[in-house]
Amino acid sequence: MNVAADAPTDGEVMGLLIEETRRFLAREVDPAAIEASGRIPDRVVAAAASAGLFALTIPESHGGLGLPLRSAGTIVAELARVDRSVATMVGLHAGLGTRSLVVHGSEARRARWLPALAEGERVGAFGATEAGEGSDLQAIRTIARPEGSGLRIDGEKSYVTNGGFAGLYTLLVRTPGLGGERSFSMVCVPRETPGLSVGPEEDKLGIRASSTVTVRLDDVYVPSDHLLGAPGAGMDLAHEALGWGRVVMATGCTGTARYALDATLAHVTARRQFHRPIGDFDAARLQVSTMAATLFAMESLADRAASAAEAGGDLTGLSAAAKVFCSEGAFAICDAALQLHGAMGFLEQTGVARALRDCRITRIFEGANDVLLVHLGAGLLVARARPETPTSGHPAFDEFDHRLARLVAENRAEFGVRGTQRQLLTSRLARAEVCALAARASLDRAATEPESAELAAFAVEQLTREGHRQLDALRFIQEDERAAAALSKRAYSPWASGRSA
Amino acid sequence: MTTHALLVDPVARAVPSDDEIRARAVQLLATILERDPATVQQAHSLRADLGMDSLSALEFLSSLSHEFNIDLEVEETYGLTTLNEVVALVTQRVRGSR
Repeated sequence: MNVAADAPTDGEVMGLLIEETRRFLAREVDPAAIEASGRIPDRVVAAAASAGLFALTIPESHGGLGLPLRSAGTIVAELARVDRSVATMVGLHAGLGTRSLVVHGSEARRARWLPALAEGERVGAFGATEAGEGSDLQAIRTIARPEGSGLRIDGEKSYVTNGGFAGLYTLLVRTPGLGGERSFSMVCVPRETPGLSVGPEEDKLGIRASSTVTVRLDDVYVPSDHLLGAPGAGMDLAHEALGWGRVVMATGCTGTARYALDATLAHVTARRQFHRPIGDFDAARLQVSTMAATLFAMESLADRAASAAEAGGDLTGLSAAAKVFCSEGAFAICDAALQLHGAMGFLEQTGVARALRDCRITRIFEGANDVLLVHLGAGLLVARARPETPTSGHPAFDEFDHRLARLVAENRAEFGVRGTQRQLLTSRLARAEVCALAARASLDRAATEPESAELAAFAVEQLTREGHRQLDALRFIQEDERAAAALSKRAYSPWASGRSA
Repeated sequence: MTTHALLVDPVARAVPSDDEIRARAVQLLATILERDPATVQQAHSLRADLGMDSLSALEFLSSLSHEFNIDLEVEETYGLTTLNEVVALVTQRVRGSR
């Protein structure tokens, strides 16, 4: 028997897995009922495990499917088309919840935990954020001190997704005794470890069935091999895992947006007003076309980021751009979907209201978009060189891309390192860069998908216009800074004096 | 708190001593990192000892640039790893040499 000939190809494996995922969704997942119950039922978690959904990115050597990030993202997008809470559970597990262990765990710990994680016996969670610190990871106070042959950990992590039922927590902690006074390290803590406790579930605007809790660590002791990577390398590991996780989240956003677009297409072709389907009105046509073009660009950019993750290298900028673009795109598409449904969209029965509130969080978690944009822009201003990209052959895009490169260089020469602290400068440059990356990814995808040429052209046109708008706004930075400083000072003063009184 | 540049005596501001540059750099760094200046040492690595990432390092360099009214070009900040190296660069730029 020729084993090699019988072995399924990667494409066949993905085909089967997508079918299995759809079967799981059809049989087990009623998004309205799950949302109403406020938690993902145990039977749904068990069915997800049976369908192999916790095994996506766990290496085959340790009981997983060993899928590349692109493929895992495809499955998360499938899930997000139906239920964003379930997609968040699986996506977080495949991304932040297990990534650092897969890449940096000791072989003994990988052998111990990864098979259970692949089986869904343990679900992965990740904790970096702490109460009051938000996106400022440098301000983390949870501390792990070397003691004997292990680490003694005290502190608290907030907004821990999957935290209520997770079996393994990967935590970013301060480790002043390891690798420098202000060093950080990444450490795994199993659920059953004495001293680890989980707070009540948070009541949220969206993804209401997704588990979000505070995790407390009181005098928790773990052996030193629970440490991931080199002592003191925690911040690097966290950024690496966040880069990976943001790509998974971006792909999830494409799933939610696909659902909202499909629901809208069904509605505008069936719903009649003024003697014709509402989809026949020019204004509705433009909205639907913009939704479709935005989704095309989202899928193209998420796919580009996932491919870059597979190729290795620094994902920071590209994953942040994909996360920002896809989370904002999904929200805009869901909002347009709701608007095109009219008053019916405001009713729960259509499902678009749930999609809208479910995707709102993606603009905030795993790095608030505002913060990511400022960082992305600062990165542009201090990059050793903007990666050379060949001209696309699309004159309007190439003109915009050159204008962006020229303005980055001019601002860098004018302001030096000071420019990195001007948030209106960095965020506007970053928004233009996000447009450029999304447009470029769309053009490249269209080159291999001739049937998408028209949609891609429209997407590139919209993105180029928006990119120019951001660059035009660079001229107003000084006056915007001045106005914002004066107006906010006046607005804040009653509140600030009230506090000091 | 740091003194506003405009309130500093212009003569003293024109020629801060090496010690003064060092002390003001440490003070700025301590403010950014919210820590006691006494715990900051010149030989400290920005990353391993002080826990700075590229963004907090940029904030520090930018503050120095404001404080001493110097233009720090992006290229000359590449490769800085310790507080000593930062202070040496700032001193050199304050003295007007490159």
